Amino acid sequence: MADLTYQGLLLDKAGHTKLSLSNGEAVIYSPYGSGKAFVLSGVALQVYKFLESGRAVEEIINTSQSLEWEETVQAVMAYFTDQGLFADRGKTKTFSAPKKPKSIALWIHVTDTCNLRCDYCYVHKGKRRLSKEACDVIVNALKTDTETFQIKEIELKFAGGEPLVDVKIISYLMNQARAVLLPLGVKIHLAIITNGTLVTEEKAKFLKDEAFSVMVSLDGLGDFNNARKYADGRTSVQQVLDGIEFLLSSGVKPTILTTVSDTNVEGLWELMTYVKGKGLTLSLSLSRDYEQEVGLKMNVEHVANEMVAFLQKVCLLHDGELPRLSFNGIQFTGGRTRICGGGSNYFAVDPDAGICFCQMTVDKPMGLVTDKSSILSFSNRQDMILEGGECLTCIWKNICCGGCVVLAMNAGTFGKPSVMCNLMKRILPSILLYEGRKIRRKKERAT
Amino acid sequence: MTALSKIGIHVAGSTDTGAECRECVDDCRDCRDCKDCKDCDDCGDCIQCTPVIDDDCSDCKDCRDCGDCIQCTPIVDDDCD
Repeated sequence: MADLTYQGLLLDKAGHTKLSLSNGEAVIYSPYGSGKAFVLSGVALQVYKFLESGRAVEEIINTSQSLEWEETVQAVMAYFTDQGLFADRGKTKTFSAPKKPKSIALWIHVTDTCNLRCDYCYVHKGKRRLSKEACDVIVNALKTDTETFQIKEIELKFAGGEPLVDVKIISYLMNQARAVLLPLGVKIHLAIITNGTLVTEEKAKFLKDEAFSVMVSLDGLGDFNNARKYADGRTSVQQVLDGIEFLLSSGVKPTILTTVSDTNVEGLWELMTYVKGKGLTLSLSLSRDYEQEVGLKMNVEHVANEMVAFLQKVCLLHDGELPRLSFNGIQFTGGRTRICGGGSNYFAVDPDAGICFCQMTVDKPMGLVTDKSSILSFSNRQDMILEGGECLTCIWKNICCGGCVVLAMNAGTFGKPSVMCNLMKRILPSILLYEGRKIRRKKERAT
Repeated sequence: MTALSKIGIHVAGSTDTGAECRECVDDCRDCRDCKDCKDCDDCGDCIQCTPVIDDDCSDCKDCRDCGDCIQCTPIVDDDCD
């Protein structure tokens, strides 16, 4: 007997996104359910297509006399309902505000010295170095926060400038943090973001031995990396590739970080091929280089077209050839209300132990760690999806989350669609397609 | 394989195989090379040995289930219980 609960329910096609994969399956994202993308195959896909064509649930059930078929249809309908695919969503999950943070992440600017002059860098180059005294202040503040807020995990991410110009101070801070925080039961994760040019065998071994996660910035091969030149104008790409080889030889598998703009977007395929060939992950971030009066300093239409073409080409690859890509916070693995934790439980620290909302505002510290002897006391959570705001009705609101807070502050768009909005709306469907491919590849491997 | 997979629904951020997920955590060698681990979620966003995010394993190894392991803009505590 059919469950009449579903009678009269109509698919809300405008309320979710459904895209077809090259194998005929479909990937779906709905902001009204779990916030997780899912792929439909087999019976679920069949049921969806029936609903899409306007068939009522009872009609669908009546297409077969099998009791198993009816139970399966009911199970599929229950899942679709939970995911908010119908116009009448009833009680759908809302994402609650966070409770207290359990983790702290610090992007630590070891120095503002750097051998490169990247076009889009946020850091004004200088000669400041983090001192041992500053390290002690940071560790003590983390200790206070751990004891006060029962923090369970701390991530220390070393950046610069170029952090590898001062491995000694990294080592000092790492050891102090371990000595003070590990006895409190905190897990410490270490990470480093390097331009790759100063990696040596010795430094690579240090990073391996101390279990650092390593990220190397590389925008492309050949001229596609030209936004990342030495101070004297020389290209840096060969030294970066050499650095990656040192890391690989030492057993470190770096993630390659790429800032995408119209100067390198056409080189993504070649870069992806190189990164995949090394067995690494390519993390793509859209350039946020913005200037009042000018706007985003890239040809948005060009970047959108090229990114979509790149991702669609990626999605046509066979499973074994599918590269590991990530999109800097863009994920389809659960609803969120912010794109990052900046200013909340994630901060940047400058070489003078000044604490900043994030790395994008490292030239504008909110104060010194010593002012409050605590990191989390500087928390100033900013949500971009506001009640009554335009973003609230966007299908991608729990994916892009209104975008970067700092960019919005700079552009005067806080609480409104980001200056990236049109670009994101163009690209997100292709990222969702890639997500669908990843889900299915994973499933096939797991079964 | 769980019921969802059997009826043709495959979900992101989950291996959909809760038992394997726990097994992965138990077997963790803390090698930091979890991208190559046999049960790796292969999400591409994780270069630490943060366990596979799964409804069945959110209590494992202090998993924050935030989905943001270690990239440039990390640590969103939304929805983390």
